[in-house]
Amino acid sequence: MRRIILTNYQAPGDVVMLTAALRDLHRCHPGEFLTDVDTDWPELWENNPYLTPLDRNDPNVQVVECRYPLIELANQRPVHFVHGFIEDLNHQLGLSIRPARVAGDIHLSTEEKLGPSPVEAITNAQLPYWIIVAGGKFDCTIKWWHFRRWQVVVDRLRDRIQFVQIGAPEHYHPPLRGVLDLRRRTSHRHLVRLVYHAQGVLCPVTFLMHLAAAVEAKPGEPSPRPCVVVAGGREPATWEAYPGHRFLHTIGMLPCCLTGGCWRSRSVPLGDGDRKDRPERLCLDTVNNLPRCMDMITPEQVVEAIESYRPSPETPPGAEPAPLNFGFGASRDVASVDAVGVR
Amino acid sequence: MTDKATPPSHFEDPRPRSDFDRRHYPLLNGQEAPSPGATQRNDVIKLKFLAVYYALNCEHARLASVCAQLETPGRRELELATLRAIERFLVARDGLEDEYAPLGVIAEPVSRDGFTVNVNISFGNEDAFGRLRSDFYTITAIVPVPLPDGITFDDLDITIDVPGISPCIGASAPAQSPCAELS
Repeated sequence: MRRIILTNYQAPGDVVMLTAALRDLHRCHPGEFLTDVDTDWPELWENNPYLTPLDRNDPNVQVVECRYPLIELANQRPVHFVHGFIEDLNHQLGLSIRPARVAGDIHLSTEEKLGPSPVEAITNAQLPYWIIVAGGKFDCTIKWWHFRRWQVVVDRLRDRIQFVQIGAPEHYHPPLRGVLDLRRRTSHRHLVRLVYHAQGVLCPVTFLMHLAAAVEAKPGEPSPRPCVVVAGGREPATWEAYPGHRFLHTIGMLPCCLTGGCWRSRSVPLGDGDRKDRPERLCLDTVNNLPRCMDMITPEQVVEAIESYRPSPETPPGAEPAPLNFGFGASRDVASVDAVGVR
Repeated sequence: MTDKATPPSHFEDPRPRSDFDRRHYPLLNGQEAPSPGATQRNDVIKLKFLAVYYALNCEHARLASVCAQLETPGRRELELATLRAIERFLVARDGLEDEYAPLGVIAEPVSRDGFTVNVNISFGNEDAFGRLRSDFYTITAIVPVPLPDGITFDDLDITIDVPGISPCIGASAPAQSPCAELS
């Protein structure tokens, strides 16, 4: 049996995709591998059934540095991020892994599933909620939507959805009004549990988007979990959008993202000395310093996307559809829309 | 401000003005503001936010004073004028927030009794310690290395000339232990 340690030291969203590769490695080659991982985010691997502690100094252990060069072809080939690490492993190890699901593979313990959500632990109430990310990392400000637009969405849905705002302390996460503010207060494991118990997720292209797909849905909740992504034109929907997500993008609508994502980094220079301030990394088309592709996405469209998670399509023809009531656990299924262009 | 001494800009530093009321000038991240006339970009942004919150504090004080007055024919007009001034400054504050949001600037006021007493401002290009985010961090660690029996540190001839690693014998370092500076 081959013994391998998969290594990757990229961002947590990347590592979520690596969990998919590990899952599919074992599904496609059962009993052939003992596997371990070395990443910066051990909390994402808790309860993972495919891990066996291995010693990288053991001569029988192969250390595999995992990458996803496939991203270079994301604008040309119809491939998803989930293919990225898999294709690289196939190349490095001479395998034929195929993705089993378009989602990562995050595991929760029984205690985590049965225990109170992080929100319940704070409020002492079983509060249905959506998670919202209203910012992001500084290395990729082009992904940011303006915080006032996030605020409009929260305000518009105030009576129907309780939003829980999250964000890492070292990133840009401006405060929103009318939300439960858990910014700076969630470890990655807290976040996994928070997603498990959440009714839905609203975010840009970010770690949380990957978690929304990778964390199983709670019994009785829609699967896949509702998730609205404000994406713009940086990345092709084929690469980033998950089945069941409402991926609001502008690919094909602007010259700068006519045939694919622009893959640029920043809207405007931050002045921090980072190479991502260089002209070739900056957005080509801004409106009030917001990328035009993000400016084209309106709060109304985002609200509409959230509201599109309608009650069950099994509602008899002619019957009055049940009113939206996300705030109190209304049962509903999810329309299967992979990617929604902004019109 | 609603009086005749309306500043030319909502964001002008009020401190040089003769009518400056120090009580209404908020702290910045719990500390004193940069000097008037600061030119560094982030300092200029800080001063703009402090100026607008100062103006709001002044108007809030004025409103409280007006509301404490007995009902008079002129009171209602004064109250409305003050409320309009507050609205103007709030709009100006929102404009500042909008302008600098793409740069990763967050300015969160801390209020007490309706007055902004502190403004916590963070920037996209600096970390919490005011260092450029692209700067490298130097982390120094004392790493004790046991020496062979009978050998003291003075017996060793150590020359390390590699960026980021240097031997040191400091007052805080054990005499028998070379320490490595790890970057």
